[in-house]
Amino acid sequence: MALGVGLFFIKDLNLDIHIALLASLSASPLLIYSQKKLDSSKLYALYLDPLLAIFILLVLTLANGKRSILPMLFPLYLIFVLIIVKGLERREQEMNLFLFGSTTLLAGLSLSHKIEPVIPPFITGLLISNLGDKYRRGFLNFLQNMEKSIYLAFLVLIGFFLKPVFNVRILMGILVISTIRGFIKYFLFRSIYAMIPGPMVLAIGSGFYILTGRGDFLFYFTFYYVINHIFLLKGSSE
Amino acid sequence: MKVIEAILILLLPVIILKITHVTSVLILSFLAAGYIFILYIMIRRIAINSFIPEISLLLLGGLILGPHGISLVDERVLENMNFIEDLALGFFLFYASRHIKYKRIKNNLKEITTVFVVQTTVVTAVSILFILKLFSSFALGAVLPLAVILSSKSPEITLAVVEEREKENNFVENVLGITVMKDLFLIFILAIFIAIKSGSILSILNLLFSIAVGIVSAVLTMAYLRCVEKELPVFMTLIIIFLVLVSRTLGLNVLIVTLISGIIIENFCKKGEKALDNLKYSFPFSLSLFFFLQGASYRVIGLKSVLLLALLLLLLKITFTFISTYFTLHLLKAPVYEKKWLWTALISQSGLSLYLVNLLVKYGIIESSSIILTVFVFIEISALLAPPLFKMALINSFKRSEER
Repeated sequence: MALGVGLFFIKDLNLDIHIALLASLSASPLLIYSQKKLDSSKLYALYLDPLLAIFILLVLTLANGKRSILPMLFPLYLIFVLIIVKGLERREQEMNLFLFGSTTLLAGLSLSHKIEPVIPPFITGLLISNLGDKYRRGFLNFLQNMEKSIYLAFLVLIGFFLKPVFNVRILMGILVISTIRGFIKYFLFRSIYAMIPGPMVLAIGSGFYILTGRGDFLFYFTFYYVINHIFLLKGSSE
Repeated sequence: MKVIEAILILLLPVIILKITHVTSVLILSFLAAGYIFILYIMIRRIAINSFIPEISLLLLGGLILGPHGISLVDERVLENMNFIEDLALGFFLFYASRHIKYKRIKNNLKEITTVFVVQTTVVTAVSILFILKLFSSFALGAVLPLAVILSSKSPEITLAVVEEREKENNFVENVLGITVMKDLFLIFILAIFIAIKSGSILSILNLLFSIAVGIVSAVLTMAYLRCVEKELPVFMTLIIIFLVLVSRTLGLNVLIVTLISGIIIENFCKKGEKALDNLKYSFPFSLSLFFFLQGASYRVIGLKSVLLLALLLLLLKITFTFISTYFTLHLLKAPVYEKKWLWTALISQSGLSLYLVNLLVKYGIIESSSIILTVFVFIEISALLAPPLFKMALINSFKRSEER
């Protein structure tokens, strides 16, 4: 519904990249939130999709000709994360501030250097999720409270940028891939919920759109996301 | 806090920013927002064990890192973040307004009303005399509203300092009671004065419409809480975004709209407190963004020429606020502590005062640029210096309450 609102009702707004930036930023906390289940070894497999996507995007970024920036930016950032996270005192609020602050800072830096904006928050998510419960609990509370507002805004913004491309061959291809992926996951985990692609898929789509300006890719990513949710609805009704 | 942490928090983003030579205003705005949030972590750590409140440090941080300092946040970024600043104010006031509870204030209504009337009258009268003496060419028509502004105070600073301590006692209740009463009264007086002076009722209409929008949004929220009560964080976020958008589109005052709405929800809805509590996660973000950007937008150009005068005005305000408050409370037989320290809550000035001055300039009631600059500098200095005094008074009042 949120995608629809964005697609049909706010088409005339001329917000352009401002909103695109916001879209990538909105997605970031969700990515970190998606890492909360990393404790369970069985569920590692669920994150193969986004990890693979991240790897592809990293290769694409490197191929984009900005190789010198990556080695400079990430080690600095990782040191920054480690030192600050270890020193957080009033954990819940400071963690939230740190999370949003570093995500915003990194989204800006990534975009200014044409680095996929999803990668830095994803690394942050991995780091913080694995630092232990005492650090994780604080911002999980925060994200549980804010999640829906962020997600809603994110979906509306994605909808705003959607430019439907009806290339039947590609759309059918996505449908087939989604079906095969769904079946594999269902047989592996015996759970209908294992089929849901998270907001990560849309975040990668929007990040890709910001980097390349390819509106059709954003549409295909969104199509993939929506199709999988329809499968889920169908599955849960049965 | 370890020194290395402080250095890293402060310097690393600046170094990255300077190395990367970013020119896009939008990206710079993102970087600035990220930096403000991280800076705020450090500010909280400094403020927690000292009498300097978070807001003073945020304002100071904005001033140093803003366009008049090292330009980490330049003029273009400030303009670009104008909407974000209003949004932050909306979120901040909506949440902080839960401290203003009529049930508690009405217990001390006599004391609050008397202090408000005496203190406002004395400071306004003294300000009139002072301005007339200093600027003999100044018409009385312009002196009166200016004096009213000088006796006003800042609801957002008071609420921010109260929120920082996260406690309430009799002293806090009295302060908040006077704050609400005084601000609403002064805004009305000024709107009526501007209407008479300019021969147009636009200023009154603007004010009434701001209040009406606040009431309507509060009624809508209360209806939602009564009938639906689901997805409260999403609903509250949407209400505030909607309020700020409407206020900006219609040229209304965001501060009045959100404050009125928040106060009504808190006082007339059983589930109001629960609804406002949903905003607690967004509170640190809104507070840090709003006060930092306020500090960054402070005027420094020409400061030297009017600094002495502005300081004199502040000294005058402090002296007469103290005298009028002390003697009024003495006659009312209030506790000694309140007599000595209540004045600290009545001297801070910020966004509301700036809005009122801008109204006077807009309707052509004040034209002298030196006077405008003096008043602006006076407001800015009091925004920086008054909160530490108020925080100190609050800390001591809580200590006394605990001892009893």
